[in-house]
Amino acid sequence: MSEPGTRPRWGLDDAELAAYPTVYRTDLLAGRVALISGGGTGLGRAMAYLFARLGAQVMICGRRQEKLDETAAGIRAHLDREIASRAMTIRDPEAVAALIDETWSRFGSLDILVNNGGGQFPQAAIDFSVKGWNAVIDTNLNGTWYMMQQAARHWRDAGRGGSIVNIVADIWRGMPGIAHTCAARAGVVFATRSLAVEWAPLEIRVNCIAPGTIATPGLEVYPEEASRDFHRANPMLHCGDAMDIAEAAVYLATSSGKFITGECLTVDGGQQLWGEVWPHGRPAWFETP
Amino acid sequence: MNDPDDKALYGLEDAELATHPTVFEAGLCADQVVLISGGGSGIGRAIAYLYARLGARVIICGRRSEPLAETAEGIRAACAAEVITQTMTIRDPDQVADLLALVWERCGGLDVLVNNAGGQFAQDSLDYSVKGWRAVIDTNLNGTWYMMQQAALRWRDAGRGGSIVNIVVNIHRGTLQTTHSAAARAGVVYLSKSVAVEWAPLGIRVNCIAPGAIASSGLRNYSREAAEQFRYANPMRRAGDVWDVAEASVYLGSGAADFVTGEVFAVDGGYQMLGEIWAGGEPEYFARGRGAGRFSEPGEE
Repeated sequence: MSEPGTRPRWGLDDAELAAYPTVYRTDLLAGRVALISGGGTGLGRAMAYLFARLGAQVMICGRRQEKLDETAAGIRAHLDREIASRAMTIRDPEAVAALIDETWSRFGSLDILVNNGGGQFPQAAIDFSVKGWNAVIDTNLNGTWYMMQQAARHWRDAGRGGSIVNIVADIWRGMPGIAHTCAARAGVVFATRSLAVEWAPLEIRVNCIAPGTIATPGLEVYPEEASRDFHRANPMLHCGDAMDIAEAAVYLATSSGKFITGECLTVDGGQQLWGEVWPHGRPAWFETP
Repeated sequence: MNDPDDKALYGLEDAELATHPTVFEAGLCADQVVLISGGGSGIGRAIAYLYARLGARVIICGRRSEPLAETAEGIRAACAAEVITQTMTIRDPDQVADLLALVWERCGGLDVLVNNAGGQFAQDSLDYSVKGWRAVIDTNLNGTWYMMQQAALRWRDAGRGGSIVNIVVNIHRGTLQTTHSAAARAGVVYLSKSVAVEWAPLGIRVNCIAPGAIASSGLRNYSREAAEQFRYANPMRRAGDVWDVAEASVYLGSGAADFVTGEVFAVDGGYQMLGEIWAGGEPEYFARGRGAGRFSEPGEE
């Protein structure tokens, strides 16, 4: 990592998230309860802001309490709204069960689950350690699954439905340099398609959003020379912003998405069709002579 | 249309389109100009109502003037908005060029083009006539292309971008007894993906919506017996409504989707995974496969 301040700032800051214009009516989520994983940073923080702005009761979770507190404090300062948070890891099924229990008992219900928690590190696949591979699968695939199953069990037992939105990745042409996350996210996409059918009788809708390159502070995990080119990886030649994903999540989660299930909405500036992302750098082999 | 069964089949009435709640902020589309083909009936009419209610200047086109006038009159009553109508066929490139000229002349530009016009007839593919095949390809594929190209030419010449939303059908598992439509819509889907890249430098976004079974007047093109089965053709075991597609159109045309291009958005109740739509009625052969997976006693057929 380079010195702070030597790299361009990625993404919207809290004041911008609070003021960003939205297409939705301001009371759209009034009375709804939303649980957002990975809500301390990046896309998760943006979704917490938007869901709170639209009137939802919001619970965020994530591994680091101070990041969750930052999101909650920002929402309090900018929007005068209180949200709940719980530090935990989605990798632990018991912690997931406790999280869903707490959300339910605190707010009396759950309407929307946004599985945004996840992450990966760039590395040539041939160098993956067993531990590194397992960590990425465990967080992105297993953790998401625990969350989906626990939420669905509560919904089934309460005799009501719900809506799940999984934030995955632009996996459609493979993801060289982050092959582990490509595998894990593909697992989520196809678990989603299976569950959309299996849980339709429970009136649980399950959908995914596949973001392309979105400007968030999360991009700082990549080498600066790699991230410098990320914006060139789609035909629009620019990055998306966190509100693109947050507004897509609202669309799928609310009445606008009531006839949508098992779908993966790609929000990527066309990257699935054109452009190359090399989070671990582009090997010389692929240079055009 | 007071029969509750009719409503389940043929969808929301005009009075409901005028008042149905929407997720979007009032005034979202103020200052926008939106052209909707096939705006006289069914899904196109709902899209016209929603855009007009959100403040857009709406132009609708279609082959028959009466349904267009009906839509315009209903919208005038609902939200005092004046809708421009143009009777024409998208199959004729010259009429398409004239339509875009009219839009530009009357509204000074265009923000969103919704290619909703299209249609097909149910028939076993073996029995298609050359004329019938060509008609479906001509309307759904060629007509959509003429509209896309004319809009893009004008956007390019005006030095500005725009957004195209093509209403197709869910072709991912083929479409039964409407093969011509599958071929034409697949053409539109991959055309959209190609020009999403080619026209990105022009600031033009191109996306598709793939509806599943939607309760709309469009179902009157099919036998009632066949149409009554459509709603079971997805894991939700119900039809969607025209509003589902209208809101998806507004979403893709709006700033919320300004990082979405070349995408196909399935609004189908999960039909892409499960369910069958037999446009002309299920053949006896496939009835034998129905219920596969139920646990049956040995020897039970």
